[in-house]
Amino acid sequence: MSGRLLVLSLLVLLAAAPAAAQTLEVGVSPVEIATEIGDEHALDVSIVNRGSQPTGPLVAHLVVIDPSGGGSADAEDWTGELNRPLSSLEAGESINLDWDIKPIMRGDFIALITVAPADRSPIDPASSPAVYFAVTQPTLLVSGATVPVSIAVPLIILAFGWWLLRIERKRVAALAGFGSSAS
Amino acid sequence: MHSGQPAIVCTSISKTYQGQTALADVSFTAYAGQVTGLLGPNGAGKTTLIRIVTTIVKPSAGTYQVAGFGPDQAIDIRARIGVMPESAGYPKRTRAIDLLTYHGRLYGAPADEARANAMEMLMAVGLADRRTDRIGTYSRGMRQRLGLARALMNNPRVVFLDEPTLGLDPAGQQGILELIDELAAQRDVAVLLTSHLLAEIQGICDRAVILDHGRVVFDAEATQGLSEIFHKVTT
Amino acid sequence: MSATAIVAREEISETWLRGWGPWLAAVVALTFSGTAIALGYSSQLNLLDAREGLAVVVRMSIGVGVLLVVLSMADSISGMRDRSTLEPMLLTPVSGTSLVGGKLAAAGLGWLVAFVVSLPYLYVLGDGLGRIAVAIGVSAVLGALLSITFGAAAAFLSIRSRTNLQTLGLGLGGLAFLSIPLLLPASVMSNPVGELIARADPLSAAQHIIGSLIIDQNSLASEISWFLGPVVAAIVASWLAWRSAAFIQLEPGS
Ligand SMILES: Nc1ncnc2c1ncn2[C@@H]1O[C@H](COP(=O)(O)OP(=O)(O)OP(=O)(O)O)[C@@H](O)[C@H]1O
Ligand SMILES: [Mg+2]
Repeated sequence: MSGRLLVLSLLVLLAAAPAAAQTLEVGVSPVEIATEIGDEHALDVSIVNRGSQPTGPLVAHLVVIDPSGGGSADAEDWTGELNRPLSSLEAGESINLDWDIKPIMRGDFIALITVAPADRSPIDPASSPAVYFAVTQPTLLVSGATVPVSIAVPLIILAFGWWLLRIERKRVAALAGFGSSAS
Repeated sequence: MHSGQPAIVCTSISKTYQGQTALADVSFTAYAGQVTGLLGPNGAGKTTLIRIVTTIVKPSAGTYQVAGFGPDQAIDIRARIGVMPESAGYPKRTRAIDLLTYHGRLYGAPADEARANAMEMLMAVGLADRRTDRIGTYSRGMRQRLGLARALMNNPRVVFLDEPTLGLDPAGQQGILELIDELAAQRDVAVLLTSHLLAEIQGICDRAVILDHGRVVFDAEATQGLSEIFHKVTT
Repeated sequence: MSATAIVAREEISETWLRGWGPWLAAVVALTFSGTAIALGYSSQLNLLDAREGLAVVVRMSIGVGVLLVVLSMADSISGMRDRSTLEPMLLTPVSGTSLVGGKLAAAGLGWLVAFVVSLPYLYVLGDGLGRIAVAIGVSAVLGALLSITFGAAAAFLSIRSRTNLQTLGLGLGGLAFLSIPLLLPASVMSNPVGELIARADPLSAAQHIIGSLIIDQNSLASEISWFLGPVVAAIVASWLAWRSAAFIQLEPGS
């Protein structure tokens, strides 16, 4: 009897343990963004301490995932501040952050804000819901003039060189004639 | 400068290269309107002496005056001298008339004047019909003539010619010697020219200076005594 | 016309009227064309790559321009020594400073041509990036500063060397030495000593300025102090060249 009780209470304790540690809650909005390369968007990030103890110093981090797996989505290129150190949150306290993100590649991406304790306090890291980015190419990134200019400039220079050559030939011809007509 | 006036005055010039004596206590005078021959065997110091009095090499000791100017007035000297160096190189792709015109402009002549002068000099040395050829296509003797033309581009008062007849055919030698003679006799120019061969220049030299191992062993009017000493030095 | 101008004029006609100048300019344009077309057809192109492409053309025009200046100046005096054309030049009343100054001015035209040729490419590659004016400004200022610095330094070596080979050896050694900071990993250069070295080395400072102003889009005000090193280097090199040009010797050390 007492043995059964012991087992039961242990089970209850074990089941409750993870729930008790789920202290941080991270929210984000908007969660869906359709945009063009180079346009800047601000994510509104909220972090709440649901626990009963202060959290200790925290750090928030931006993660960018390319679900297609092929491209290299380097979050460093998407934002000026990859990491943001945060001071300790009291029990029940919350904080709101503006996070500027500028997509630099075409395609579908997932962005997350992860918050982790900056010291060794025994609380679990938490992530925001996924923010889905659909990024399209702006209509004109590379000018249509690229190819014509790339062909025309060398040709213009060659023509100019040829023209200089002709001037020089004429000058030499004039010099060659200059004495013989006099004498 | 009038005929007979001192044009080059060297006073106790010495030059050592890394402890090796090239010139030792050289003194002599050359005069306007005269051709002075500077003779001596290989390594006697002829080229070194010319480089010193034409301001491009500093003497180790001693001083000099050229056309009335001293070593501190190098620019004044350079404006009044014409030099045909022993081993002058030429830009291969440049045309002879362009080289001379450029050279004339470096002495301050306006473009037209420099070109007309260049043409005149090319005629004087017999290169007029090759004037627009690139110098790279010239023969050795033609380059030598071009060097002489260049030395005369600034209408110099004192002319230095380091082995001017080297590599010339007999007719070319004769022509250049006549030109030199005329410069001295009719334009009162002082000419200093070097040679290994006494016979070659004896006919036109008024004076001779013989160098041997950097020392002056003869300095007088060109007379019979000259050939004796020259013979002793060179054999 | 001053002696300097006459020398410059002659050197310019040697290169651009009778020499390889125009053909080299066409080759430079072709390399720009290759870069521009490669960027234009890259399907993975993103904004960062596009600005990087703009910076590449700026680096190329500065690099090619400065190289032309350095090669002509390295050849200037020691090349004449090698070809025995120095002696007739020293015998004219033209001062050494006019001779070197005229040659430097003519060599500078090589950089100017590379810069002008790069302009249409900067224009098409910078279209829509909002960095064209910055790229042109950076290219002009850094290109002029580095041309003066390395042109004058090459002239100094050329005046002091006995042969062209010696000039080229010393010059390449010096360039390799100045490139060391560029080859080191960024982490090594980010400590205070590393940053000081990067600021003092004109090549590293130029690299930093291009990256910061064109790629990272920082403001000129925040980076202006990085120009100090290249400006000081240009002044020091010009002073050295000027001092030694006044005493050009037929054979150095004799
Ligand atoms: N730049 C130099 N460095 C070292 N020694 C030199 C230099 N120039 C000349 N000498 C030495 O000075 C001496 C005189 O040389 P110089 O060229 O004046 O002789 P030269 O009379 O002109 O001979 P040549 O008839 O062969 O032309 C020689 O011993 C030569 O080795
Ligand atoms: Mg000699």
